[in-house]
Amino acid sequence: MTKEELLREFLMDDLVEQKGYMTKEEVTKLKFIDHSESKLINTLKAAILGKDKGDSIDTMVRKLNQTLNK
Amino acid sequence: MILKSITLTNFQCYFGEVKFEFKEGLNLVIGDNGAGKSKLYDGFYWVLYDRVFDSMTREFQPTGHKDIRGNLVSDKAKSQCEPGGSVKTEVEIVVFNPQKGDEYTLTRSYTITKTESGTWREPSESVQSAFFKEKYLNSRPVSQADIESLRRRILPDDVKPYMWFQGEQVDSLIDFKKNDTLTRAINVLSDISEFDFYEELSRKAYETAEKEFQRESRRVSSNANRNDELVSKIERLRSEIERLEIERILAANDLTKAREKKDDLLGKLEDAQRIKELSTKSTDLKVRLKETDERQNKMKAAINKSLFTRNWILKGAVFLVDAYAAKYDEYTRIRMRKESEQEAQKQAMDEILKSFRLPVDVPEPIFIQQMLEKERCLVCDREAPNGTEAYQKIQELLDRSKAHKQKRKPEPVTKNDFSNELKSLYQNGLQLQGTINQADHEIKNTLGEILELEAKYKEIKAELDANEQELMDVVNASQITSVESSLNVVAEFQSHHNAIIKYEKDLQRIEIRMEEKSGEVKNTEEELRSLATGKVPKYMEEKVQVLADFRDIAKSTRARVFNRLIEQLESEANKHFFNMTAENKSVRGRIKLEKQPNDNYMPKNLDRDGRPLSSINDSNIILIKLAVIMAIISAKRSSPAAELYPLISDAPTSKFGDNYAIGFCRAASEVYSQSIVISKDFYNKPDLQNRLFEEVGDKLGSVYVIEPSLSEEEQRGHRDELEIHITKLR
Repeated sequence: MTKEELLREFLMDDLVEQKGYMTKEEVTKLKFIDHSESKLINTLKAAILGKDKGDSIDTMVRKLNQTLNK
Repeated sequence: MILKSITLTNFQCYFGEVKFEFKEGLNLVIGDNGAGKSKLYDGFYWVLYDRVFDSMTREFQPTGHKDIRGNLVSDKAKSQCEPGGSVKTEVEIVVFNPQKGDEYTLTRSYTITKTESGTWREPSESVQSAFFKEKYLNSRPVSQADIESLRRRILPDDVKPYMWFQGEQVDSLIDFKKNDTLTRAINVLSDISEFDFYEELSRKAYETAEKEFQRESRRVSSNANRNDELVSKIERLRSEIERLEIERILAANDLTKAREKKDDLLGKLEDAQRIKELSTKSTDLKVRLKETDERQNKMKAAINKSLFTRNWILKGAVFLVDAYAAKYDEYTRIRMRKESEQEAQKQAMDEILKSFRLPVDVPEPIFIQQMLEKERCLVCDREAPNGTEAYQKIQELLDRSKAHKQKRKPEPVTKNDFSNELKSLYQNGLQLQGTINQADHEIKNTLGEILELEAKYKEIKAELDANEQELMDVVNASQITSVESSLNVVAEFQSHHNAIIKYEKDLQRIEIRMEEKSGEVKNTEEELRSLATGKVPKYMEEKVQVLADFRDIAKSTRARVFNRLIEQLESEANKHFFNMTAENKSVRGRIKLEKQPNDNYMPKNLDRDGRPLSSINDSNIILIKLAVIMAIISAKRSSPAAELYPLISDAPTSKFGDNYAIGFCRAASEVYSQSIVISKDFYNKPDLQNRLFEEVGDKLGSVYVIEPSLSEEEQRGHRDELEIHITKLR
């Protein structure tokens, strides 16, 4: 699965719309490289990139926490 | 990965160097029994895993195994070896990675030496070597340390069972009795494990953020003690939820097992119930038969007794009474006639006596007799010659005397007078006639009843025989070994049914408890937040919220992807199932991947109405398994297994007919980028081969026919002359 497909897979989940992040229509238009202010989208992107890089879970947990501290 | 070739040198029955070259698509190696098909499969296995199939133990054994080492080398090669010389067996495979253009050569060899005395020195280990050739570069040797990782790249261990298998292994690949088999296969062959990674990551990230948040909340809390209490309470509730979750999983597992067992028995239940019905009927019929027999015997015994107690011995004696009555009538008539005659004589005598002047016996009879003798009347002294009237008169005097005597003593009508007795007998006879008629009537009724009972006995016996026959037929046709075990099946089915109801209730109870506890956690968290004086940094609150959402979304996405995969799998499995069975009308039903309470999935074979098929034969089960394996590989186009690894299968359709073999090859050619099918099904069947070639079309790779130099029978005594000839058809 590509990074793009993976991100879309997560964002197409019903919970994303239910929790008020974005609609499914917005998700279809979204691209991985697009800049986003949404902390959830940025968290998902960071997780996907970290996995792609081969980071361990502990490293990624630390990085995600740090990212969200901003 | 594409397997370009395999070269066998003096390997088992392959004498000299024999090379098979393969292409992408469906490659076929066709051979009869004893032609070396399984030895070819052994070649693939040996070069990668240092093991070959041991027909004694029915397992793959290492080179060092006592039954293996001597048999690895061609007997013909050994027979041509001089004392002091050696024979080397070797298998080499060349594997190509089309994505990168790399090529790997893996070789395994084993050398034995013939001693001067003619015995063989057989080392316990083989030697493996490998070469790696990158695109545009020369090949270079791979170090021993890296060979193992190379082997795993060629075919990962977890993928191997689904890509390399023999016909007889198919059954264990997807074990319907182990409910997580399908889930495990999906995990191995799909990228669902990627979502497992995100699920774990999101959970850990959330827990870390939440702990940080709790620490900060305590610091800014208006009531530190209450804060601690609430934190402890949340921890306690969470551990309680965890405990309940374990309990839920256990109950779900129990429920799944109980349902599985019930489903297993479902196929047998119909037969078991029928057997039970027939068995109960047999028991009832036996009781009725016994009762009828006893009643019959009792009635027969009663006949003997009734001969005397109820005068049945007189049966049919009415004619005697009638005969006696007739005789008695005749007797009375004769007697009356005689009495009348006597009376008439008496009257006549009286008339005679009245006509005489002289009294009776005057003269006395002796004088009358003298007068008759002298023919002279002594009274009047005149002659009375015989024949004269005078003589007659004298004679009459004598007769009168006799008549008089008779009158005084009348003669009896018969010599002995039994009139009274005979009359009594007659009267008794009249009375007995009624009794005899009654006895006749009773005997007739009793015999009628006995005949009825006999007919009933025969009828019950015939019904019992037919029932027993049907019982035997049902037992023989079913998977149930005996009548007793059918009763167990029914009882077991009921017990599993009851267990299912119990586990469902348990699950419901646990889930309600979990919801309650989760609600408590939520309320406690709210109270905890209310204690904060608002000084917890906003970013920290947001972080917890975002990571909680990430956790929920990752979990939900994983479940959604998995369910979608299952749907795809089901659709793909049915596609392959129909493809493989298209020409076979005996195969019915469709595959349903049924979710179990413990979230695992099990393949089921359902009929058109969605009911489980009860009579599935072995071939059908294996086809379902093959279809599911193919579906796992084909469901996702990006599946690494389908893209990168070749299918190698030895006699996958050995249990099936020609149509199945075509169906399997056709489906394999569509699913796997490369498949090497070793099969007997197409041997000496040019029509079937042509049909396959037409149907598979462009996806057909190489086709070989392998034939031994000796027949299977000849091989027994002349292994040292055996070699395998290969012919490339395509």
